Amino acid sequence: MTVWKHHETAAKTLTIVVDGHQVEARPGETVATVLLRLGYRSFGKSPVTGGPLAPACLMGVCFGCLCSVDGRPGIQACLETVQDGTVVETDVQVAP
Amino acid sequence: MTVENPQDVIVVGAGPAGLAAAQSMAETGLSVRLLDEQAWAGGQIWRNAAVMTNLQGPMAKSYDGAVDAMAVLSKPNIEYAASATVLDASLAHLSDTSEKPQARLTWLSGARENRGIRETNARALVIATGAMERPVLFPGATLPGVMGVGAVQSILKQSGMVPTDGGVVLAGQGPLLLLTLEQILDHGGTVDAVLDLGAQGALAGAAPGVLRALISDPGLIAKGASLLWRARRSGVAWYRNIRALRAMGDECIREVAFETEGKTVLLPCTLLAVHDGVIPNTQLTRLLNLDHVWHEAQQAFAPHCASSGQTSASSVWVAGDGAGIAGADVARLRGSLAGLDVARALGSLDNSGFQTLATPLKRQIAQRDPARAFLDKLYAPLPVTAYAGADVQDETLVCRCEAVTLAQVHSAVGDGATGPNRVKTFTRCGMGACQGRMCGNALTRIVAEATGSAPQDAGALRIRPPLKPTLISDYLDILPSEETTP
Repeated sequence: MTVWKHHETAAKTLTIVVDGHQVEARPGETVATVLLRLGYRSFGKSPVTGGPLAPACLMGVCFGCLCSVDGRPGIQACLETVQDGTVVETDVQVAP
Repeated sequence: MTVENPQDVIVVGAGPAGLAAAQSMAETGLSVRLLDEQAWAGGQIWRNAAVMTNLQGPMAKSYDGAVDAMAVLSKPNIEYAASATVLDASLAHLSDTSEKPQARLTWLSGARENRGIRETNARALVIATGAMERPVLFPGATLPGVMGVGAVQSILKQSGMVPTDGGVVLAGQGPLLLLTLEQILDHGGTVDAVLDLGAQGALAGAAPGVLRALISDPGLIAKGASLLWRARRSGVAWYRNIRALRAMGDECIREVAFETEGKTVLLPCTLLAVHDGVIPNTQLTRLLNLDHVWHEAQQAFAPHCASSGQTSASSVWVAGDGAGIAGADVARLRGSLAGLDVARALGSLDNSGFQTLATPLKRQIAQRDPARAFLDKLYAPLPVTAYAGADVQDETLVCRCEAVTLAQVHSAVGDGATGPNRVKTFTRCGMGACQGRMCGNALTRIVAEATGSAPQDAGALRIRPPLKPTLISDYLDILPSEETTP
């Protein structure tokens, strides 16, 4: 089962909140990369089919990475850089 | 909404082309407003350059020139805004073009310190919004875990992560696929298999161009050859002559199935990275109703432009892969050239100055043409329904946002939809969140084929503002966290 792993240790880390859980992230990362590392395969649900909505392009084109960031819904997670204290909410809860 | 002071030029996109254009214009004294929707400059190839150029790793080479290019961000007459999302753009058509603003951009500043909608006017507009992955259609292509190889590259560059622990399969063709394979392996990731979707005999078809390509750009060809060798040597299972590709799973991809050499192969797969080349991102150029031309070899529309980037609108230039796929080196050259042409048009560079500076750029661009033509032939885009035959039309999505299948698109054509916009009206294809970005190219090709018309005549989806979905609260200038910000 594919897992996303850092290929080297980070000099600095910061803490964000994902679906209620405190998680570690790196400066420069996006919300999308953090979610992928945590094991989220999809971040939300398609409003049309109810099926899983997942990132495909990681560059702001596919709109598959939408989630709520700091209270704003419909944010493209791949364009949102994490900062200390960023609060992320998805429609898909992943067990910690 | 904040109306900014007018600028000489607005540049949309701070990748290699946009940075180069900004530099050459700023050097002639023009004021430049440089916008990029990402939180950092560099576009895709120079993603996260501030971190990547400090590394000695195998990827450092692709960042050659990034540091120098980004030095332009601190030039006094370049005002750079990151997290700037263009929402709308319009052009005036004034007869006196020398001083009055010709282009107006409405954009959202998403920077946390000063979020809000802005309006900027300028005498000229340079669009350098680059490229995107070509959509590849097959059953299950929209399952979670199916991404473009560019996405895997972005993840590696953005956060230093590689996919590992099995289940990683790459499928497609092209230098970027091979590069991604190399980068995954170099950084300790795993790849189980490569599904080579390239046409059999592609090399033979491209062979006549090889010699000229080698002479014009030996580095490019050598890079490709070494990548191919590295892939074979790495022990990754390599499959060719693939038919009937399918991604299988419920909540996410679990297996990839295909037929080859007369047998069915089923591979465990939880990450399928797909690639069939890149195509120009034409959202903004379409929004502006510029003329576009269908490029047969690249099977994609690009804005019609002169050699130095001026489009069918006299105040708009395009540069970089958004003007036609040619790679990062050419993007920089074209960016510089477009910047010089803008400067000449706006009167901050005289004709002889332009000729002196532009001539070597044009020569360097032309030198790379044979190599590009060779690559275009070698990796000719797959037919749009190569892996979406009649038997799987019902299961293959063209529009992922609105879940419109290939069967539904054909049905709409059968009912009289003569172009992409009529298909959109009949099926909602292109009406979803991505606003036709992911389905547009495929839709044009499918409709052209189905109606027996040329893609140039079939046309493309009409693009309307806002260019990206926007919160009403942003339009109303309401800041939710205003009261609680210390």
